[in-house]
Amino acid sequence: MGTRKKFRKYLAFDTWGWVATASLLICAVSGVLLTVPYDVTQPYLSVTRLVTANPAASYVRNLHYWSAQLFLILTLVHLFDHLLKGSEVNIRMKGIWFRLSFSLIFVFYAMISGFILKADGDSLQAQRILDSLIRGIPAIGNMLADTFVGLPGKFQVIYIQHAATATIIIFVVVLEHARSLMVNLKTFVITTLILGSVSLFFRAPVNGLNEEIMKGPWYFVGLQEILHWLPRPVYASVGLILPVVLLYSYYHLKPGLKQIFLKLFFGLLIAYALLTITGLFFRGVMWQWQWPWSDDYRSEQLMVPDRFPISRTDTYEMKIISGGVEGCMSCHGNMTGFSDAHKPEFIGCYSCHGGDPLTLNKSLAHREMYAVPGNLSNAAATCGNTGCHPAITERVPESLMATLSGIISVDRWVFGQNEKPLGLATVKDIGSSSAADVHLRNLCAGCHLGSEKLKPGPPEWIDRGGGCNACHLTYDRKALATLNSMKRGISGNNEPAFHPAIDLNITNDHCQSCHSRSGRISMNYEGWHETGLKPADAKGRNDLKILPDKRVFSKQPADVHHTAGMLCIDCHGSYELMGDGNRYMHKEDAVKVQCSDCHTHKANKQGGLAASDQETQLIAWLRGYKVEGAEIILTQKSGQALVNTRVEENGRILSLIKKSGGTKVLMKPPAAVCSEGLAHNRLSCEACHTGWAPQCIGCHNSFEPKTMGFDMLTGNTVKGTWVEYAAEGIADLPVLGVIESDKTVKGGKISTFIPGMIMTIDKGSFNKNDKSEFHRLYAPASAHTTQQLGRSCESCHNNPAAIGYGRGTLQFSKKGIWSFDALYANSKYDGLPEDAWTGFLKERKGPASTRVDARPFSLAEQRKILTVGACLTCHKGNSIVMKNALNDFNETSKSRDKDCIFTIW
Amino acid sequence: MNPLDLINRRSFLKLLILAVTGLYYYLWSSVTQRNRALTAGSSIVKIDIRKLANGTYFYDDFILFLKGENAGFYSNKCTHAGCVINREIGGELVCPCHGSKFDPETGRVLRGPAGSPLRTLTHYTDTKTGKTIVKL
Repeated sequence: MGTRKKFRKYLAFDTWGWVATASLLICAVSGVLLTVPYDVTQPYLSVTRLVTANPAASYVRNLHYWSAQLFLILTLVHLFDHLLKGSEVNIRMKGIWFRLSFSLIFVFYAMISGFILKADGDSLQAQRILDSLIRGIPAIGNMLADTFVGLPGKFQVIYIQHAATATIIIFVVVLEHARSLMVNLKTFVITTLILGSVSLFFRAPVNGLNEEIMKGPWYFVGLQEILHWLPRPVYASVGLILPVVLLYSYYHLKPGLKQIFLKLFFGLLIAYALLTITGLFFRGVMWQWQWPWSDDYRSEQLMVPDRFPISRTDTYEMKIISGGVEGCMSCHGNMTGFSDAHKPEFIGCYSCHGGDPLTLNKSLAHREMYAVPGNLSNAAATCGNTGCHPAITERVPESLMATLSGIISVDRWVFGQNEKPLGLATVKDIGSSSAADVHLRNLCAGCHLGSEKLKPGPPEWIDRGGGCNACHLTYDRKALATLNSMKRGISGNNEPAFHPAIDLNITNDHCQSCHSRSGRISMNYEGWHETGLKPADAKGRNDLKILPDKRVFSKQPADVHHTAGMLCIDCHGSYELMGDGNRYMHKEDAVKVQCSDCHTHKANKQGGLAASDQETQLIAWLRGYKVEGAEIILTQKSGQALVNTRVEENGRILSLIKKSGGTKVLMKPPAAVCSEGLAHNRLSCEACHTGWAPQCIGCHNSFEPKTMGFDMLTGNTVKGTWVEYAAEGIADLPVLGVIESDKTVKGGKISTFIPGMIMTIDKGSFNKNDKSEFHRLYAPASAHTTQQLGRSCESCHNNPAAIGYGRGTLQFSKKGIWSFDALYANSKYDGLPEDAWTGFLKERKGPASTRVDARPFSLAEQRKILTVGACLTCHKGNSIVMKNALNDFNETSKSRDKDCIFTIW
Repeated sequence: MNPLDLINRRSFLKLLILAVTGLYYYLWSSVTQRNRALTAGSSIVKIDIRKLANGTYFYDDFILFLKGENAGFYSNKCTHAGCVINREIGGELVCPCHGSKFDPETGRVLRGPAGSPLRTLTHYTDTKTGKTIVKL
C-alpha cells in the first residue's frame, strides 16, 4: 500500500459523523462537570475564577469548548460529505430529514449560547444582538427571544436552554438518524486524545468586560460583517433560516436541481468564509477597517495559549477587579506607590499592562504584556481603555508634540523638498530616502511623544518620548530604590514592592528632556544657557550645570515665573500639551495661553469652573480645587479653561494657584508704561520682557557617508549620517521682528526672534546633483526668560542687534546720519554680517523667516525706530520728553530745542 | 350514526396535535407576554447633573450629553442590533459591534448601518431635590 493511501486510510479512520458524535459526547460530559464551578448569578466572576485558579475546571472548560468547536465543524463536514455522496437519500423518513435540517439551528444556538454564558464584554454584546435578531422575526420573535435569550445581562434562561433544551434536541436528532450513540472505541479514543491535548495547551477564550474590540465567535464573525452592511438586521434573521429551509428542500429535489443547489451551498460557504476572514483579521476597534501593516493593527488571537499546571499550585488569595478575577493581583497585589486613581485594587494590573490576567503561570501571565504602557504604540489599548482615557489617547497622536509638524515642514522646506514651510506633517510620514527626511532622522526626530520608551525608569534625557509617560510617570524615592534593586538583580523571589506613580505631578524635569534643545525654552526658563564647555570644565563651579547628556549650561537670569515657583504646567494646560484634537503646523498655533490672559486689569474672558468640560473638572478634582462657585480665566484665543486661575471682584482680582504646593498668588496687571501712549501698541509683552534668548549663528550641515550615525526613528545605528557643525551659542537679548498674521494690531505684532537657521547645507554631499545652499532664516521664539522690568528704550532703538542688523556699533552723527559698523564679517553668500537678519537700512527680500507670516523690520519701520533712537542718544528713556513722545511723537518733536539733531533720511 | 365514524383515527390525531399545538402556542404567548410586562416595569434613574461638567457620560443604561444648560438623555442601545454604546471617538458615539456612529448632541445617525436615531429618554427635574429623573 502506498504511503498516500496509508495516510488517507489513517485519516479516514471513521466517518466525520461519528467523530462529531464522539466530540458531542465529550462536550456533554465536560459540560456536566462545568455546572459545578459555574455560577449563573455571577457568571463572569465564576468563569474568570475557574480559569485562573481551578486548573482542573479550566481544563474541563477547555475540553468543553474545543469539543464543541470540533462538533460544529465536523457536523458541517458530515453534512456536506453526505450531500456530495448523495447519501442523504438513505434517510427514508421525511420527518427525520426535517428534524435534522432544523436541528442545525439548535447546533448554532448551543454554540452561541455557550459563547454568551462566559459573560465577558463580547458575550454581553452578543446576547443583545441575538435578542435583537430573534425579536425581529415576525409573529413569534418576542416569544422566541424571551424563551431562548432572556433579559440582557441575565443568564438563567439561556443557561437552562443551553444545558437542557438545546443539548437534548441535538442528542435526540443524532440518535434518531445514527440509531446509536455507541461510538467506535478507536474513534472515541483518538478524538479524546486530540481534544485532550489541544485543551492542555489552548484555552477556551474569555475576554475582559470593556475590551476595545468587540467580536463574536469565529463562526458568527462573518454574520457580524454582514450586519455591518445591513441597515435592517431582520433581513439577517430571515437569512439565517434560509439555508435551513434550502437544506430541507434539497431532500425533495430532483437530482439535476440538487447539483445546482449544491453549487449554491458551496458558493454561499465560500462567500461566508471570506466575510469571516474579513471580520477576523481586517476589522479592529469599533469594527473599523484595519490593514495588517498599519501601526495600530490589533491581531485576532484565535488560539490563546494555556498550560495545565502539573506541579503543585500554591493557594493564592484571589482578588476581584471589575467583576472578574485577575491573576496578576495574586503576586502583585501588595505593590504600592500608585496615585489614588490608578490603585490596583480599582483597576488591577491588566488594564494598563495587558498580558494574560487569567493565569497564575508567570511566563504566561507576562506574555505579550506591555512592560511600558502609555507608549503611543499601545496607549489606545492601555491608557485609552474604554472607561479610562480614550478621548485623550485619541487626541495625543494629533498633538504637536507627537506630530512634530513644524520641525518637519520647515526642515523639508530648507532642503527644497517643500515650496513653503507649511503643511501638516507627522513623524509617521518621515521617509528614508530624501535628504530632508534622512536629516530629520539623524538630527531632529528624536523628540516626539511617539518615540518609544523601552526601559523602566524615570523619563530620561537619552530616552525621550514614551507617550503618556513622558509627562505623567513619576518615580519617588521608594520606586527608584525598587528599580535599582531590580536592575542589580537583588529582588530575589520577592515581587517588586513599589510602583512609579502615574499622576499629575508633572515637573519641569519632565519637559526638559525634549525642551532643552532647539529653542531650549525649558532650560531658559530656569536660567540655564548651553555652552560649549566640557563636563570637566564644570568641576567645582556652581554657576555651571551638567546635564545627563554631558552638555554644560551656564547660569543666566531665570524667568520670573520660575523664580516665583511656577511650573511649566502652571501656564500650559492639558489641551495645549495633549492637543485639543486639531492638528497644528507650528507651536504658536497650538499654544493658546498668552500673557494678557492673566496679566490684565480686568479678566478678558472668564467662566465658572463648574461649567467647564469633564477633563478640566477632573483635573480640578484631582488637585483638590473647590469647583462650586469658582470663576476661572478662559484663554482669549480659544476659550480653554485655565484651571488653576481664580477670578474675583468682578474680574478685577486675578490669582493663580501654583500647581507645586498649591499656594495662591496674585497676578499683577501690566505696568502703566506697557500701555502708555500708542507708540508701543504693536509690541508683544515678550518684546520688552524677554531677558535673553539663546542664539546660535553659523552652522554647517553635511552628509558624511562613512561616519556612523543614528536613526532616531528606528533607534538603529546607521552608516552615513548628516552631521551638524555649530558655533557656540550666545545668551543675548532677542532680535525683534514682525508677525504679520497677528491681526490684533494694524501692521502685525512686533515680537521676539532668534536666528533659527543661519547655515549652509551641503546637499551635494547627499546627492551629487544637488548644490550647497545657504539660508538666513530667523525664527519666532518665545524664550521663556521673562523679566519683571522690560528692556530699556535704548536696547531696542539704539541696538543694531535688536533691529536685525547684527551685533556692532550704531553711531548717530552730528549731521543726523546713522551709520553701522558690524562686529561680524559679511557672509560670502549674501553679503550680510554673519549674525544679521536684514541689511542696515535695507529691506529684506525673499524668505527671511521659518514662518511665512514673519519678517524683519521694513525700511520704513527701521527709520521710525532709529528716528526715536536718535532722540535717545541725548534724552534718557524715562525723561519727560521721551514719555511725551510716547503719546505723540510729532507734537513733541515740534517743541524740540534748536540744538536737537533729527535724523536725515 | 356513530360520531366516531365522521373522523378516522389519523385525522383525529392530526386534529389533536393541532389543538395541543394551538394550546401550547397560547400558553407560550401568554407566559412570555405577561412575564415581559411584569419584569419590565417602569424603571427610573435619579441623577444630579448640576455638578457635572460639559461632555458625554456613559451610564449602565443610558448616555447623557451635557452642554451648558442643555441636557440630552439617550438610550445606550444601538438602534441597529442592540449593542451597548459605551465610547465616544472624535466627538461621535460609536457602536463597538458594527461601527454605527451617532451625534452625542442630538442622537441622530451620522453613519450607518443604524438607520434611526438613538431613543431619547424622557426626563424631568425633581423640584424638591433638584435631581433629574430619567425614565428608562
